[in-house]
Amino acid sequence: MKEIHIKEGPFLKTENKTNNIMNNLLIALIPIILYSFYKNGIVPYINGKSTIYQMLLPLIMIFVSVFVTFFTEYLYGILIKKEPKNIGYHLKTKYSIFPGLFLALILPINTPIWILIVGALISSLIGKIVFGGLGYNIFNPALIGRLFIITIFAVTITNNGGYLNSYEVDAISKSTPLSNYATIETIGTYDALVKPYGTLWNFFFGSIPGALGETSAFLCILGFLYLVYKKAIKWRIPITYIGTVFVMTYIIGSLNDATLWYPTFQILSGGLFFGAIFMATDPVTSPTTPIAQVIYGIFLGILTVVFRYLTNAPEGVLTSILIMNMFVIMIDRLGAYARFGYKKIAILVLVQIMLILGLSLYIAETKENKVNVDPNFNIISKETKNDATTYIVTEKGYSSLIKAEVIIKDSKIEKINILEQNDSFYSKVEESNYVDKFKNKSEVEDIDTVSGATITSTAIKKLARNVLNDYMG
Amino acid sequence: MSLINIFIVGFLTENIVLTKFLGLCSFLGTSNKRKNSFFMGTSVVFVTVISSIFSYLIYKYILVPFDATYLRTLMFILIIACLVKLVELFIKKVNSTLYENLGIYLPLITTNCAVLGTVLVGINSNYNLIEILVYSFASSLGYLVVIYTLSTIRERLDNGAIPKSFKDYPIALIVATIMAILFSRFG
Amino acid sequence: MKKIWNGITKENAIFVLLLGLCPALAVTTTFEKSYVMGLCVLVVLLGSNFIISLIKKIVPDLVKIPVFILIIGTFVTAIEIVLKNELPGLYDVLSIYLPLITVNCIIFGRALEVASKESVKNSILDAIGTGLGFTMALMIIGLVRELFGNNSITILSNDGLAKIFGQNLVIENVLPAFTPINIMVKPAGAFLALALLLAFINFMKSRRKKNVSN
Repeated sequence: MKEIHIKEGPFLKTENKTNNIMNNLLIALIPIILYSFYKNGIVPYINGKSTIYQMLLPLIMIFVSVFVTFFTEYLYGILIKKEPKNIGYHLKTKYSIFPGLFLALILPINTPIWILIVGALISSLIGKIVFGGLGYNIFNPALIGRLFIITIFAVTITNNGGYLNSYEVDAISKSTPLSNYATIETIGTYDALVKPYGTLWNFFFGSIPGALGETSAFLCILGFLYLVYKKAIKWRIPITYIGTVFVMTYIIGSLNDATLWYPTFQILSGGLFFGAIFMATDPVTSPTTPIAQVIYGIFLGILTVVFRYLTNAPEGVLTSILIMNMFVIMIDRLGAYARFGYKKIAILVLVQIMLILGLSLYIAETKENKVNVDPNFNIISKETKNDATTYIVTEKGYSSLIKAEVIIKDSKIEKINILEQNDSFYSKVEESNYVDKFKNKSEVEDIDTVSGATITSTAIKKLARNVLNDYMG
Repeated sequence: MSLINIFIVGFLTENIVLTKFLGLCSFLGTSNKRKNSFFMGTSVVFVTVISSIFSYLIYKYILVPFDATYLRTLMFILIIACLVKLVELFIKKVNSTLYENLGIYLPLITTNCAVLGTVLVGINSNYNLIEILVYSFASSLGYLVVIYTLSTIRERLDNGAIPKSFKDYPIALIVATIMAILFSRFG
Repeated sequence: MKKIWNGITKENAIFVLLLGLCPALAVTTTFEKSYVMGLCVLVVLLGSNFIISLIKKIVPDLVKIPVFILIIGTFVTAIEIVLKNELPGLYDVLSIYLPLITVNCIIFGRALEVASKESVKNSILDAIGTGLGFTMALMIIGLVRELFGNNSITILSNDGLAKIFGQNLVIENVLPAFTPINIMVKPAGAFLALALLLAFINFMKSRRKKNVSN
């Protein structure tokens, strides 16, 4: 009786092909790695904003992260699974440098090294080993590491400088493009959203604040084209993903008088290209059948848009991918049975189209460029004397109610006096004489917030805006 | 709170399984096979919605006027138990194959914390009838989705490859951890 | 005595049988809540096992389940009323999980398996064992979660038992220079804590097996 040998997964590719994918992926990533080194390491150093250590930091981070994930799986392999000890074997069969590599590329430059190490350990242990190793993990390991890092250490990273490297901190007065976007209530204007960072070309080539490797859409596209040429990537996923986000943001933008620049801005921000091309297409955690890939990509787009507009998190790419990872098995099953039953797929696609249209319209409504009723805003009194109108208003701040006096003269803000507040970070607002920025303004959209006291300064901005809206009638 | 808001809270941000931990026994017990979890989930939806309505009516029109709100635990659980019994008999008569599939799960629903829990949360939140309807539907739907998703994942996990100490339950709980974090990000 | 020991170890409700998990993960955010919940379950177990084993011969099979539910429910309602009057702080904090003791799988399971079949004495012993095992398991989970998530151990809090004992006893900053991992006191952390504890127990079990077979 012949013996039946069952190979260990992933059951999709032979060993050779896994190697093939790994090598090509590395090649595709090299420009991105180099650029992250250039942008976050060399540029600040040349401009005298950092030390040599900081200049090398991008490469150090990548190296540390890769080392930790590789070594963890290596140790586990030789100690628990009694595999051979030569490193070559592990390099070839484990794919284990990639969680580390990706993890470093999706973290900001200011991530403390020890947090990076913890994250890399979690990526390996919880993201991969506990599920059974290569081919068995349900979730993208690098994203799992990132998820736990954000959940546990978000505050520490922000306190360490957040996403801006030392050059950007001086050159750009805001945070990442999407965090900046979150401070604006309405659809936003080109001036408010894009100009602080340059032009849309900056977004395309990647000279905007963000995580190590995710800013340059251009380099991601290069990598994508290379991988498509080498037939080493599930190309349907990035195309449908980015396409869906573009369509939805286009609808949202055009219903609010924003032209093509708006959806372009949206798809070029938040590391969408990097996530769509490299993270969502991870061979193990993404669908295998073509139809399933399309559905997967579309849902990813919908989810990302939902996260960006309807929740407090400024960006949603990485969380969306993890959420869809959960459903990959179900979607794949649908895709596999597609030949026998188009009905289920058709229904699903119909649902998706409805979601795309419905959500876009809904979001467009709530973000309209008109007078928004701010529930946290209250006019206590309004007095007109001579040609000046004095408002006493309250607005919800970070941890308290901010009471302010706003004087309008000649349709412009003459002065703002903060009467009462109890916000924890108000001192920063006070130190920078923030209220002076509002003098003689009839529009407040392009006033920056105070870093380190974003919510408090945003509240002051909001109350100024609401007063102006009320004044204009 | 608008109805959509209530739906999203019940389904996502305060998901009955992942944030309130209700329905865990059945969650871990039945989620190893897709079919089981699907039947359990749909039965839960059905029983939860109907018993929420009845519980609301009895609470509002009998218990409160008679100042007997302390009896609500007993009252609700009785309603659920009777309802389950009725459903059992009904299904048995109407569709015996369905009864055979659902068979064991129906009695289990009585002790399923998710059902009683949803009813209690709904009543405690002072919803009116329509709101309780929406909430109980959202909450039990959340249960169904979570338990079904987990079962598809568990079916796919190969117990052979998982480290020995983590087989079966620990790995399921780790997946639950990740799901809990993800669901909470909808806040 | 063996029965009691069994309930605590080999047939531990939470770590072995995996029953009654709902409250285990929900209320274990502080140590105090954990053992209070454990004690409530113990009391209900004692009461219900006792009564059920007394009347087991006279209850017809058909109405067995509803009757048991009623009995358990009555005890739970009694505890609810007592807590609401005496310790309203705790009552609020435990919120829906008190009435949910009624459908706690472990109480119901014990009623069906033990109380309805064995003698009164055995039923009471079983109740003690299971209840103690449950309480201890909860205390362990609660300790781990509060320690790592909040760097404190709450034994008597102002909201809770301080009323009875006249003072509160909260040990703060137990592990020096340790920034608490906030996720542990959130739902996700509960799953994680239980996952790790279970894995650890499995690990110890398999070591013991290996040693025995050697």
